[in-house]
Amino acid sequence: MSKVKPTIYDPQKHTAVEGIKVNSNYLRGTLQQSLQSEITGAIADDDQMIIKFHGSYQQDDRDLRAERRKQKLEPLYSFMIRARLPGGVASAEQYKVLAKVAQDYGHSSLRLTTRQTYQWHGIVKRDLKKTIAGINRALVDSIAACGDVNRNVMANPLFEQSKLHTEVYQWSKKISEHLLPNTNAYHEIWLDGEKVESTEEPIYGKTYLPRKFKIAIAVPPNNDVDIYANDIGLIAIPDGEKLKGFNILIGGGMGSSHNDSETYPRAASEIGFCKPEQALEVVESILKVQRDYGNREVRKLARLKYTIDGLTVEGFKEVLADYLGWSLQPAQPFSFEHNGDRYGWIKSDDGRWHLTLYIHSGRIKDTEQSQVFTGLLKIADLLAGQSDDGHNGEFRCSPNQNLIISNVTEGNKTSIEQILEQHNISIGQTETPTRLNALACVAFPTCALAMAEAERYLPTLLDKIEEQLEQYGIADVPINIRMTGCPNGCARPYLGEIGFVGKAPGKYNLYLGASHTGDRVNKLYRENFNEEQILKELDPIFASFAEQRLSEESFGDFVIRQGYVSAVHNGRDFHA
Amino acid sequence: MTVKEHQLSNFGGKPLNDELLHQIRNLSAQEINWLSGYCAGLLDYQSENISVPDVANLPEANPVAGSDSKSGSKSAQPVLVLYASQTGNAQSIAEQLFDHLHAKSIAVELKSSLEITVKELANYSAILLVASTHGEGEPPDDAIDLYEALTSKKILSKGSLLKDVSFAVLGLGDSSYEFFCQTAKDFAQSFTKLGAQELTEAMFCDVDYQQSAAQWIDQVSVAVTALVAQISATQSSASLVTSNAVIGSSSTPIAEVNTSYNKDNPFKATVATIQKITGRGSPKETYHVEIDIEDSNISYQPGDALGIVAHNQQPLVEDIISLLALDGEVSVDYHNQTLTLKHYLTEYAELTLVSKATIKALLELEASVQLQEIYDSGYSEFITNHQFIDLLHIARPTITAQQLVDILKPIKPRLYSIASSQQEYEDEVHLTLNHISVNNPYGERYGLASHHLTQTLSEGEAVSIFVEHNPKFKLPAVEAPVIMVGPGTGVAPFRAFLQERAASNSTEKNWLIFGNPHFDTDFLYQLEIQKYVSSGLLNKLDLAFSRDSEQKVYVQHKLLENAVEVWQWLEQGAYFYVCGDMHNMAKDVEQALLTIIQEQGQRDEEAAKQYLKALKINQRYQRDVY
Ligand code: SRM
Ligand SMILES: Cc1cc2nc3c(=O)[nH]c(=O)nc-3n(C[C@H](O)[C@H](O)[C@H](O)COP(=O)(O)OP(=O)(O)OC[C@H]3O[C@@H](n4cnc5c(N)ncnc54)[C@H](O)[C@@H]3O)c2cc1C
Ligand SMILES: Cc1cc2nc3c(=O)[nH]c(=O)nc-3n(C[C@H](O)[C@H](O)[C@H](O)COP(=O)(O)O)c2cc1C
Ligand code: SF4
Repeated sequence: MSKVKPTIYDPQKHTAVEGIKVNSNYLRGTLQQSLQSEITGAIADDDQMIIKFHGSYQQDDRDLRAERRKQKLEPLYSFMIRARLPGGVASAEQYKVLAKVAQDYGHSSLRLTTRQTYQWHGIVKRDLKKTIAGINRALVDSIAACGDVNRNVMANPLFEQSKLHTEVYQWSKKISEHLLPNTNAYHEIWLDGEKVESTEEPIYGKTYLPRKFKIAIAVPPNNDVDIYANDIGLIAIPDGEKLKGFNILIGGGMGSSHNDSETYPRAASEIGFCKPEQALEVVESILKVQRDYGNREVRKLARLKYTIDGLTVEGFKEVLADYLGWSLQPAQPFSFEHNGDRYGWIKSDDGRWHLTLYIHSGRIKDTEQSQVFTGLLKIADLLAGQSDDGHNGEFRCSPNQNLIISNVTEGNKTSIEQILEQHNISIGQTETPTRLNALACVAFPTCALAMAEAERYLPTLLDKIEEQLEQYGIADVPINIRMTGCPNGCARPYLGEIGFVGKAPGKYNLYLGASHTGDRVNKLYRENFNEEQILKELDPIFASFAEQRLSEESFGDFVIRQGYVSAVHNGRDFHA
Repeated sequence: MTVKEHQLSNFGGKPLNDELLHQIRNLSAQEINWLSGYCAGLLDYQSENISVPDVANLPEANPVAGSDSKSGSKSAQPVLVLYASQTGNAQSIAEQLFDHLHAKSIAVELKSSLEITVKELANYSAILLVASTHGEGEPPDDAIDLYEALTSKKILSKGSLLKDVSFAVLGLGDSSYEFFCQTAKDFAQSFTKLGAQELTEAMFCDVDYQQSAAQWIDQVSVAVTALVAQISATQSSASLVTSNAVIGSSSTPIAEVNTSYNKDNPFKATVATIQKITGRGSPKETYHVEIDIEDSNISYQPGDALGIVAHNQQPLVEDIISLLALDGEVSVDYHNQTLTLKHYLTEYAELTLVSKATIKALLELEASVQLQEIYDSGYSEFITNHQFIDLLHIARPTITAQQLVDILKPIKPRLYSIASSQQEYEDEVHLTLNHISVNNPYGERYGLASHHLTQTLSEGEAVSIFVEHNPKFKLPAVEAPVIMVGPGTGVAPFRAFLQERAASNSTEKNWLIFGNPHFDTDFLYQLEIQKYVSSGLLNKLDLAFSRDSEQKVYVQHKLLENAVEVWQWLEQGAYFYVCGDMHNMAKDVEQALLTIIQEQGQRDEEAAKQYLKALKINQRYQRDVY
């Protein structure tokens, strides 16, 4: 008997969020009224859930919360907007517009994310509509950048084989478009599109997905997209210069809660191979299985990874076969080298140049040290100015919060270098490999869920760790260090050879032992440590790493071989 | 006012004015005979200086005269006690005078200047006016129409309109303002121009007016008694002998000493909370201050103001002393007591508000071209960011300690609209105030009271306060809807109003119109206001954040946007309140209100003015502006 069983909303059993979605008239909610109300900078509670589907979150400046309560003022509410940018690619022309929007409404700051897109922070409610409209003027939108739908589809920039990459990038766009919600709400609310009475959601239905859903495409040997952290990972298998098809991985995810063994980060499991033309059907079917089998009663257990472990991987494959009507072929061989970015200039076989910049925590903002925002805008002006055949220079977001200025002609190289000079923007030639690989999530002051600092604190901790690495002569060995302000794992900390996960202000859990290629998550090593304890704990480990490291052995593999922690092979081992 | 001014405004000057001398000369033998007796009686009265002359010795006016206004004869003309008052001081003096004359069964009427036209003034034998001055030398709200009429060319051309009327004027004012007692002065001038005769010389009182006002009442009541007597004498000597009424009538004590706390006897309260309530990056420094008044049995009503008695900053005092190369320890004479200069400057001298008189006095001691220019043309602009010490920087005078004392004005308390209701905070008074600090080429200058309250005091320390009751800014006595226009710190009394309405669970509608520069940082009491909206106490809220949009939006714009509803509310009997800045806001709001009355009420300008006046008369349009 078929395992296909469409979702039926059950108000008794399902969470409140499910009710909000069902009653939102396809993601309209009461957003219009919420935007009008002048008495508060916030929007209605239910709308706070709905607006995520439009690519925005309500936040408040957590640095000011206590102070403002005393001042008899409400929290300083503002909104984060996240662009939907498949493969992270924007033309210089588009970047210009996006940056101008940030100038006008977003404190002249853009935030590159760990999923290859831009975020605007601190947009006040009265500017929200203008901002979103402004973004759309660049022909970029923010639909489904957040919410219980498929998110921004990642695809890694691999320039050595730019033909293959172009193909892969096209797929990331196709998948993103294919899985977009169908509702017209976004256009009605933000772009004054005229009202469309009946909306159908052929793929999602009224209840959309039980939880967020993430897809990435990787092209070996490069795993910079952290394919194993995604609900669906597609690994491009090349046939010479062309694309042969994709290996399919499912059930990756980072999110977990402290001391809750029901939740855990999980590296995705490989379930087979499909041809390019089958890709859309495959991802849609996997998504539909999650739609119908995913847990709608307990949100924290609603991600695909838990659905899969509930059914077992084999069980899931059977269900999928029923949804597809056919079965995947066996997976093809491939191998990854690392999951970081390569900095500096690269020339691709079509003679174009690509420059990966080092941007700490992806924060594009002017500071005393470097005027990143101004500098990049100048470069965009330069490239957008001279438009031969449309794509004379692109701005690409790397999956690790960096920016790649790509498809640059020989002629523009030096002028770009000059601008970088003048504005003191790094191309990653002076930083240690460890710093270049380091990731930190946003956390304070905007993130509502942060328990500790991340983006604002990691640099100072790195200074001290670098001293230690220097001391033991291992400063040139790349070690993946990742820090997040809470266990949700936005900077994929569980895939860090060293992971710091915030517990309380100044206190972190210390994780060790992820692989350097990003296919094995790490394990809890020490709990609730402050800086002093962290450094004291790491020092002897670095010392012995320096002495006893096998050649080319990564730090993550070393700590396991030395028995500091045991390897985590599947989600359930994480707490074991 | 200074001692000198004070004496001048008393019985000094010439014994009788020309007018009276002239009249005496034209009296008949019989009348002169009577007058001599009267004067004798009067003399005793004055030498004994008891408050009330024994009326038995004096003829009384025809008791029915006052009520029978149709009767043409002059004796039938009652005496009018008229007041022009914003916050009630002038009114209460007028009331004292009225009681006083009434007690002597003189036919007397008490009127607000709202309730009378210029023509009607002619129906009285005497007009006894007590008038305060507000704004920048402007008449108080209730007197605006009468003032305009009396100063209009049209009326003044009718030279002799008041020729049969005598008048006396008491001005209440504050000599630290450029136009001291301007309203009273202008009224007096108009009366004269219209042919009225001055009954007693006009008196102009400074902030501590109680004593001199009492003297004025004495002085006027005597003169009036004489006048009435004289008039009735002219028509029938019969009434003289048959008079036996009201012997030894006990009249209310005139200089009614206020037993509760006042500026000379303030209550030492404790500041419980000093909290800045504008957010980071705000252009304003607005504070919420909570003062503990436990065991003071002070009681106040929403709409009342709190007086703060503050001392001058030591740094300021020392700077002044050293600028003048004086010794702070030398003793100086002030109001016939001897103090050290430092003590005087700290506690008795007005140093932060510069009065024009002070500049003048200083110029007389030390010529200064620059200061002279300021005096002649730049004063009002100058005072917006300068204080007394800056005069010294400019003029660099060499003066003695005593000269310094003589040119300075007495320090005065600052008033703050009370922002709390005792129904909610029995033992507290809350204030909402801006910290005043301004820069000028000579340095940074701070406001006396606002700096004291928000910067020098710390929580738990003592502050000297008294309640300044304001009967003219009160919630409706009857249940009625209220419209409250209170931008900036003007929201203070409305916070009190809302607390009061909430506590007395009034079912009437409340509408608040608030404005300030920015929503993010300047939405004063946002959390409380949000609660009042969700609880339904606030039926309507309109917000004007002027600097959040391209074109500036102010409260008056919000009124105009809501013209239809404003009119509906007014027609439903709503009370309309305005509090805050008097320089622009209050004027613009009144203009908007007039426009609404014209357009929504289909009235022409004149009719609209009448409508607004009616609102004032019925206390449905009240203002607390500063
Ligand atoms: C901006 C970004 C971090 C960064 O420094 O780049 C980010 C920021 C936030 N994430 Fe994330 N997540 C970001 C990538 C991730 C990733 C990494 C990835 O996808 O490769 C993960 C782990 C992978 C995964 O999904 O498991 C991730 C797992 C979460 C979770 C945990 C989900 C779970 O299954 O438990 C939450 C909390 C939630 O969804 O309830 C979350 C929630 C959030 C929110 C929206 C907090 C909130 O819900 O209120 C954060 C907004 C902070 C701010 O002020 O911007 N974010 N978040 C990344 C934006 C990616 C994008 O462009 O879409
Ligand atoms: C009935 C009433 C109610 C009031 N309610 C409030 C209230 O609720 N909240 C509130 O904040 N204030 C209120 N005020 C105003 C308050 O009384 C003080 O005038 C104000 O706080 C300034 O006093 P200060 O002692 O701090 O400054 P001051 O010592 O009086 O000095 C004021 C300084 O401001 C500068 N300045 C700028 N513009 C001018 C100007 N046009 N004229 C004179 N000086 C100017 C000068 O440099 C001067 O030194 C009220 C006033 C009245 C009469
Ligand atoms: C906002 C405000 C402005 C004033 N402006 C003047 C003025 O220009 N000239 C003056 O002599 N007195 C001025 N005064 C002082 C008042 O006339 C004085 O306080 C008087 O006692 C008020 O009497 P009332 O309560 O009858 O209005 C002003 C008072 C206030 C509160
Ligand atoms: S990991 Fe936690 S703190 Fe960091 S951005 Fe994500 S939700 Fe916020």
